[in-house]
Amino acid sequence: MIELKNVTCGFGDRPLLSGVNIGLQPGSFHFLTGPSGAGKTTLLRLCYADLLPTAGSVKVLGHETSLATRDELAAMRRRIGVVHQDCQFLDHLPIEANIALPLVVSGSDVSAKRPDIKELIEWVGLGDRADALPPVLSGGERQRAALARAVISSPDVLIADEPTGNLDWEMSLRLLRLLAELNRLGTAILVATHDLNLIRAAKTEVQARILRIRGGEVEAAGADL
Amino acid sequence: MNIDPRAVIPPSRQSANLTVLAAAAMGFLAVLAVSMILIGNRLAATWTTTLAGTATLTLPSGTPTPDILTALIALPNVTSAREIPPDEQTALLTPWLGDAATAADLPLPVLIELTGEPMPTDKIDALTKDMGLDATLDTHDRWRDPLTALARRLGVVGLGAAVVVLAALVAIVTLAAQAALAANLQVIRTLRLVGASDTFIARAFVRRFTLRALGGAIAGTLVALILTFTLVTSGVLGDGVALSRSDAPYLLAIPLLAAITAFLATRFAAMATLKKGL
Repeated sequence: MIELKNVTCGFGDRPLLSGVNIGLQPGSFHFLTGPSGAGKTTLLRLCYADLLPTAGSVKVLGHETSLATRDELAAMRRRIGVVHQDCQFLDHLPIEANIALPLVVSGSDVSAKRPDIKELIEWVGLGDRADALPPVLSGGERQRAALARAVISSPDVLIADEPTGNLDWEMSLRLLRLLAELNRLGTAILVATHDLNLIRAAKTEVQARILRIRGGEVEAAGADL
Repeated sequence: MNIDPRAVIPPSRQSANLTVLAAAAMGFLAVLAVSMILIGNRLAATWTTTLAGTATLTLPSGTPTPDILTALIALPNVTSAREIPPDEQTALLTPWLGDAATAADLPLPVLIELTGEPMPTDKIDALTKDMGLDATLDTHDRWRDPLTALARRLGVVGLGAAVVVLAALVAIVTLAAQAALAANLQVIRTLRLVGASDTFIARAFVRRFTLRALGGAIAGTLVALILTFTLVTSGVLGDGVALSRSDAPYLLAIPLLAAITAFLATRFAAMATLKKGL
């Protein structure tokens, strides 16, 4: 589904990631952890083709990202849900419209899917905030809205970058349960977080693999967390 | 809820107003330039049509005319042959000579006005030679040719002005579109994140700028048409200056041309900007 082989990537002379090899299978759940600045966000950006590797190969949903056309990259992103660290909403549109955005860009009939959108908004607990503009939402509400937008078009993969960064513990657990529920429905999930408590708490919810970035390389972790 | 894909770009009132205003000004100037071309062409056509099919045969003063008039009217294509009487000649000369034109001893030549299309100049020359007359035939080419050349030059100047106006519109729309793209980089990032293609993003900008240019150009065209019509009908531009219904398509095409120009300029600017990122 997503495969990185001998990937090197960085900005300037110093590579942030070096010789990275990972593979995400359908229905898998991965946590990506490491200290701030280790390259978690860079690795995620490689996975949703927001960044190209300086060396090595990144294959996403069957396409080599370095060789894909711009239209192929866009089509690829439509099959990947992303919960960005700062959520990234269109601030002039209400939350309901923001959640429906992936349907709009893919040319789907949004009015026909309105019941699904409503149901999803209820599922993330924003039923009474559907008409609110993003700037008036709290951090937790924005994270949940971002999650709803990421899954509205039933993506094959969901990538989340520090999705609980702005949330209290109770809200973090709630978001974790939403991710676990999605995973049970078959969506492959990759979550970058530096919150080890969240990873420990997830052990009761999902069967997750843990990847740790250390010195630019990615290694499997688990027992020590 | 139905989301218009155009609504993904937030409204930008200031740049919108500027684009509309610029398109209105360009539409106004383009209509004036094209109107001037059309009026110039019409005047030149009127003048050349009036002079075409006429000729003046000049004979020495005192030459008897009845025989030559009869012979001329018998020639093929010649529809009339008329001797211009001395008082009419004097009236023609008065603007140039003043009172001297009325002096009785002024040796006025015999002038014969001929009409016919095409004018049988060879046959007229042969006829005057056969009759032993020292005649000069003037087909008015020396008047008509400069007018035709003037009309052609006016057309080129007008066309040049219209091209400059369009180029200015391209520059203004391109700058406005680039400014809008730069101001909406975060929006573009978000759209890319959810899988929007370059075409989808560009279309949202292109539609907006095309409609603004069309609206502005329509307003500018209407104002310019009212001004031109007022100037023409009031006679400020002189007698014989007019626009006809057949000119309407050229003038009404200007807003459409402005919209097409804005469409192409915005699309080019948007695609060039979007291709800079992944």
